[in-house]
Amino acid sequence: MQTVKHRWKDRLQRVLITTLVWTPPIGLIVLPLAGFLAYSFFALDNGEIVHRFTFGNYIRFFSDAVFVPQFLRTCLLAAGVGVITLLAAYPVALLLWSLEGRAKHLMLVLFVIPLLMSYILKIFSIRAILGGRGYLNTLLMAAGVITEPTPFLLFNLTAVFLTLSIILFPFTLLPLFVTLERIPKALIQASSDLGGAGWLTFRRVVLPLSWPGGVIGASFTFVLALGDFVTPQMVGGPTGLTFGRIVYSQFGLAYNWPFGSALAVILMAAVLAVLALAARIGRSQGGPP
Amino acid sequence: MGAIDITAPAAANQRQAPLSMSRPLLVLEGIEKGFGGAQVLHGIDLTINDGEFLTVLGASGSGKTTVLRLIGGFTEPSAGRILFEGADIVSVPAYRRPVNTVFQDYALFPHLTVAGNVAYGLEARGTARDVLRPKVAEALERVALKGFDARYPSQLSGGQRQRVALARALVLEPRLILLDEPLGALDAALRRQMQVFLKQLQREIRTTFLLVTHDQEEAIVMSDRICVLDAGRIAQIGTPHELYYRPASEYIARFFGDNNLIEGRLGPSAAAVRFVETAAGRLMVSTKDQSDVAEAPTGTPVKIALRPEAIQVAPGSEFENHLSGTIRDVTFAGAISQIVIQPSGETARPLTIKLASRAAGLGLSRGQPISAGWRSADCRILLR
Repeated sequence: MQTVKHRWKDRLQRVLITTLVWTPPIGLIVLPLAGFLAYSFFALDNGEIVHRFTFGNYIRFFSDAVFVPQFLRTCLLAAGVGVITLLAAYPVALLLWSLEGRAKHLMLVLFVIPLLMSYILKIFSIRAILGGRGYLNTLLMAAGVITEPTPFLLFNLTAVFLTLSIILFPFTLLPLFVTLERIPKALIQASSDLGGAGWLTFRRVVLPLSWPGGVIGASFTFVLALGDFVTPQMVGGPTGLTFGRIVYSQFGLAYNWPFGSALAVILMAAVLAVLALAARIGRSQGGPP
Repeated sequence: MGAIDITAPAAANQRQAPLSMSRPLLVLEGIEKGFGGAQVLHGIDLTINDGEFLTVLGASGSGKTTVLRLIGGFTEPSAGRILFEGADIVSVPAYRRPVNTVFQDYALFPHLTVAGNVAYGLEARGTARDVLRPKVAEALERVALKGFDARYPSQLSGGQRQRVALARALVLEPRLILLDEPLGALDAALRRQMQVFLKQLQREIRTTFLLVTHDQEEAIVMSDRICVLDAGRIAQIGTPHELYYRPASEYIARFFGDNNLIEGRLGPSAAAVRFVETAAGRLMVSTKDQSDVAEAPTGTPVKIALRPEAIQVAPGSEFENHLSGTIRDVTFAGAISQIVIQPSGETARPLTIKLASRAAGLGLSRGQPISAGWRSADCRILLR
């Protein structure tokens, strides 16, 4: 009798725990996302949302001459940000990795501290650097490279690219650094013992073992850059249009939620595809599955 | 793991003098090493001869791994010289030293296959593919891993990984192979198999092996010579036979052979023997090869090292030392039985005797009176 009772209690407990664990992600993430997915199949009629199933929003996205090129250009921009942060993160991560004790932690904090700062504060700092009378222009003029402030630094796509690269840098750096830290020092010694000097050890051991971390970091950065609309808004100017800004404008300005949802769904599909690809690359390294 | 034949023929167990024993290959000269205020090695002088199997034996913290790391080039001595065939290699980086290491926990490259791991050193040297392949195949065959080329380290057992690490070093044909506790992670049966295998391999390829371990049995089975480190100092260097039969100090006597240690004071001396006054009576000990003991003043406190298997039950008159007592304990351990006896002297410490169980089966039991004896040549006076 008692065991039956116990089993019943166990089962209840398990159901309770499962419910508790799954309620927040389902309620806060899956349901809203499903809502957007549903909205993307609705239409707008005279500013009113019509709850009638249609592929109209998706047809509009693929048939309009504006959206697809804009989407691809934004993907290219985000990919560029991912690549440039990865290239910049490698030397920094290797430097951090080579340091010991307190110096290592201090340097790490220095590179990661921007994560703790307000987004707006970071953007205005960058505007102060790139602006017409900003540090960079002043410096270039003082050096005699240019005679008057160049307008090419701010309020265009280049500015968006630079700003995103700087702001998102820690997201690429951290996973890469963590992966480097996980490489056993004995492997480096083994390579050295077998005749591998510094460069060979990097190319044959460090790079292949840390590459997955770099790819994961760069894809984080890619995903964040792809959907971002604040930075393009603040430093992009009229030419620095990105897909994130278009999505934002559908919700915030045009009040076309169904079409905005469709654009958001397309964006998310791209994000998921990139993350899946990154996970595959991550898994393909370090031997068999 | 398949049943791979890594057991050696019986001949491998016979001790034979290594080749060109006298030619020094690597010499450590006055090596000091400190890590941030803590002195790890104190004036280490050690010569490794070409072709020998030398083991550095010590407890953890004795500095044995540091010795290996110094030779491998992973750390620099605070003072002293490391001479390889006469040339100081202290400033030579690890990747250019003519030694290779089999690391503790193997340090195999997880992203490379078995063949990739073994080929790594050859590729680093720029060896051509057509030369490299047969060499890799040969090295894998030598460690009984033929056909494992395409596996990854994560698909291998501990013993197989160990042999890949060995092949990775062997394939470079180094003059000296350093082994850092290579068998530490293996289970007891596999460890014994690998001991014989390593020893046989070392004879076959005639390469100098330097092994670091904390396991005295492993050291005795495999080594031509053993260097015992105690707290950063060399306690004794010698063949396993020497360390076993002629320990230089109490530390060595405790480390090898489960010696009985009998406390006493030096008494008078006679031709090649010295008497020692102990709680169990006056004992006679040979002082052969021990001029310091022969000359030490009477009354000096000493210990006698007496191996358990050297003690005879119901001894005849050819045994110079006799004592009587009672049996405190009898333990049967297969071929060997261990008997603990309490000598009749008031303050005498118990003695442990090891006998072949066949001989012990004479109806010895607890509480029974017993007489025991041993030759003066089978025990040894320890001054320190």
